[in-house]
Amino acid sequence: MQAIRTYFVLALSDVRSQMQYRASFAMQTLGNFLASCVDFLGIAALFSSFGALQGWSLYEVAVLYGIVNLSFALAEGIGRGFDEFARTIREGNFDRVLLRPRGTLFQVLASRMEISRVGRLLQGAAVLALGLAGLPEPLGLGQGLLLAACVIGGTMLFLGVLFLQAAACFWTLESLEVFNILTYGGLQAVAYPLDIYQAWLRNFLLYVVPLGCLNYLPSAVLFGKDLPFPAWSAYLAPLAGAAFLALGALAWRAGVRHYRSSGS
Amino acid sequence: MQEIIRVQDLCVRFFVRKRRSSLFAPREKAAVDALRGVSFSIAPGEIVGYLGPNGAGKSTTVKCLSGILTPTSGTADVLGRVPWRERVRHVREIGVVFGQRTQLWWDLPVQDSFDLLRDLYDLDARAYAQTRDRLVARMDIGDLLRTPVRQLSLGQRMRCDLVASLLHRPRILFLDEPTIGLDAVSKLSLRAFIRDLNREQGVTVLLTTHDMDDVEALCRRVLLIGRGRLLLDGSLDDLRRLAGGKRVCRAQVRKAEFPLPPGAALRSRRGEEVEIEFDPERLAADQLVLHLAKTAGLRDVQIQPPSLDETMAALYRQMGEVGA
Amino acid sequence: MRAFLALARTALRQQMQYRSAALAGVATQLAFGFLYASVYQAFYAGGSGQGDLTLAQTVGYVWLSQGTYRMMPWSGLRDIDAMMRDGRIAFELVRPRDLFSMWYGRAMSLRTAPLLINLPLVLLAALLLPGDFRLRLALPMLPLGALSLLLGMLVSAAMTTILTGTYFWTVSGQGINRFLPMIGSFLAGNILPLGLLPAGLREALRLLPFASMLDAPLRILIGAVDVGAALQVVGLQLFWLVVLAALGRAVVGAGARKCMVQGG
Repeated sequence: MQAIRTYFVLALSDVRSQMQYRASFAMQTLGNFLASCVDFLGIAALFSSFGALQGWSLYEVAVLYGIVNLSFALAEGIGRGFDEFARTIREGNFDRVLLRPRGTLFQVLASRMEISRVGRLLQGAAVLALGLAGLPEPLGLGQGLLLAACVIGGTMLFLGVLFLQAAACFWTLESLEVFNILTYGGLQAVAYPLDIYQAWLRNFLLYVVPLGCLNYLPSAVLFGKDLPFPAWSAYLAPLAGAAFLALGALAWRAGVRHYRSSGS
Repeated sequence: MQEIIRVQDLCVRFFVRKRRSSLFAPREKAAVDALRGVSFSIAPGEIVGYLGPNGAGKSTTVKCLSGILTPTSGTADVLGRVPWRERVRHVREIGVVFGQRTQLWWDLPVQDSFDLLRDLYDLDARAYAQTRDRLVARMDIGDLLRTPVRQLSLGQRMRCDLVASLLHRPRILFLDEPTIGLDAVSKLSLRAFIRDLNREQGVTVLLTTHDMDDVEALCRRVLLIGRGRLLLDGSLDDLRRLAGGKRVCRAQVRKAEFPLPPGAALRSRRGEEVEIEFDPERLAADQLVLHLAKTAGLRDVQIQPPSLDETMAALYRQMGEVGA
Repeated sequence: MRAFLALARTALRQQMQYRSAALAGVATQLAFGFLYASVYQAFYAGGSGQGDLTLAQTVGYVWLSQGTYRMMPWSGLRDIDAMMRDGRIAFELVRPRDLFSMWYGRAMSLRTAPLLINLPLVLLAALLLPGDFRLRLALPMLPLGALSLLLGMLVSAAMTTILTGTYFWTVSGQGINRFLPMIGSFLAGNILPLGLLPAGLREALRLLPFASMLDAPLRILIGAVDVGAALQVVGLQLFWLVVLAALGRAVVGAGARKCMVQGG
């Protein structure tokens, strides 16, 4: 409880720092919003030209898109400190973290809260709402909870990727842009139903970086699509996010151990 | 007396990646020994100067002692703990100040940084307020508390940083180049503050610096480190002796030309003012003065120990020549 | 020609210093290219496309737009922005050289140099891929396509110079540099091929200067237009090059005058 309070004290102080540059903040938020709008505009344009995508309508794809983009916006907003970690370590500021009597993961997490990601958050929520409006019947309680769990699970998964990306910096000292393939590439990939991909890519997105578990499985159940899985599996799927987060945390720990035995 | 810091055979070996010779060549690694068996101990209440050229292993030692870095081998006992084994508990009881880097939040007012540190260290609200008010008054930074850190001058920032490092009442303070880049007034007030802190609260201080005036003003004991080894553990006089113990004779002489006895060498001459360096082992001071009186038409004379800066320069030169 | 080769050699050497970043860029572009190609294949499999591109042409468009990704005017010259902020711009202004030409030259190398590594590698990989993923170029159109690509770079460099000029107006310059590239990339065909948009829209967008940067050369290279139409496209590119260069000169000039009057 105490830790949560301290987290918010620290993270909100970062928000206060950002608020000192109001014009820049407003522009970043609007930019973030517009960028994601342009992104979805592209998808909508494709549907207007082609009508449907292997049996999935624009509404159904909007649910896929909304869930992951909400998750991604949350993870980017919360985990900004990991996104920028290469700079922290290059400038020697990680020593400062080690000099304080708290866990390193906690401190880096609490060091930044990027509110400009509200832009994508709003857009993701709007697209999700648009998609849900296309449901044959209104959302039940269980389904609503499932959706919420998926957004949280997705946030955890993207955070896990950010942890991995930051952990790699302990060895490389520079940010590995290849991780953009996982984050932005993953985001793009699971915005469409996984049926359209070749088996290896589908399996990758279900079992290796299990983004598909967090939007494809539950949406397929919600919209009554054919799945090679039983319907109840969709309700367990959000746990994949927690598992990936744990993996990221382990990598982070290994990275810190490496850093502390090799210096910078 | 029980030691507060004990270091034994501390070794740190880094692996530095070399540049790849071509795109597909494997990366080669080169071993660098930052510390090769350093041992010393420090009693509570001491102020110890930790000296050495850049790259000698000063900050590596400080990193080990503050729990950031795990050494390759060797042990340390600080306040009864191995720092790198129990990092979180250890850092609660030490304060660290890096002169080059601030630990305050860049865009926030100083007061907010202090409050955040209270939360990070889980400090008792009343004890924190007392400590803070006392330090703020002592360092005279009351007017700065509402100013964002980025708007502070270097001297102001340093004073705030020092206060920040003491809010949790550490028993040991590691200072890394605390006066670097400061103006004369700030340096003097910082030194006075550190001295008082040591006297009144008994805080043990390990001071890393290149500013020999800091050392002269604060430290009775110095540790000299070079290429990862401890070269000296002793007083400032020991340090001067190690440097070769040359002394300087400043004199006013009438004659333009005069011979010098063996063991003495002319360092500079401006008009009648000459500076002669001599080795007291080979040539006694009174012999030199006598000689000058006879041959150079001596008017006035002053004999001084070399400044610490000169001593260090001589020492570093020697280290360079001795090699690894 | 010799001067051009010397310039290219220097640029290539510079790029080689960042080769790990360049290779990461190539990997990212290949991954995204593969992803988009998969998505378009799925859309085309539905069979009711309204666009004016065949599947093979669309896939070719995808690979080419990935290979030329860094040719797009993603921002102005960032070091000029830094100079405006800390006042070093004064040194730039007192040089006895024409500011616009100087910046245009640098924008040109900024937009072309990264392609020296990226474009050949991405295209080589795409030419070797199996089946529906393979890049198929319209060989007879290659000379005209290459000319058009060069013009695209020149237009993009002009756009970059305009963006650089707007840095003279600090706050609004920031805004323009954030939003224009984002919207421009959609209008240029970087988000999805313009040919897949509804007919009226795509014809209108192709008249804008943004399409002259990317859509124009890509359409020629994949053989979506015949020689006559290609010549018209190239003519339009020339027109926009002249207009944007003039606009860039005007923006940079006005900014420099404003800066002199206000004393930086």
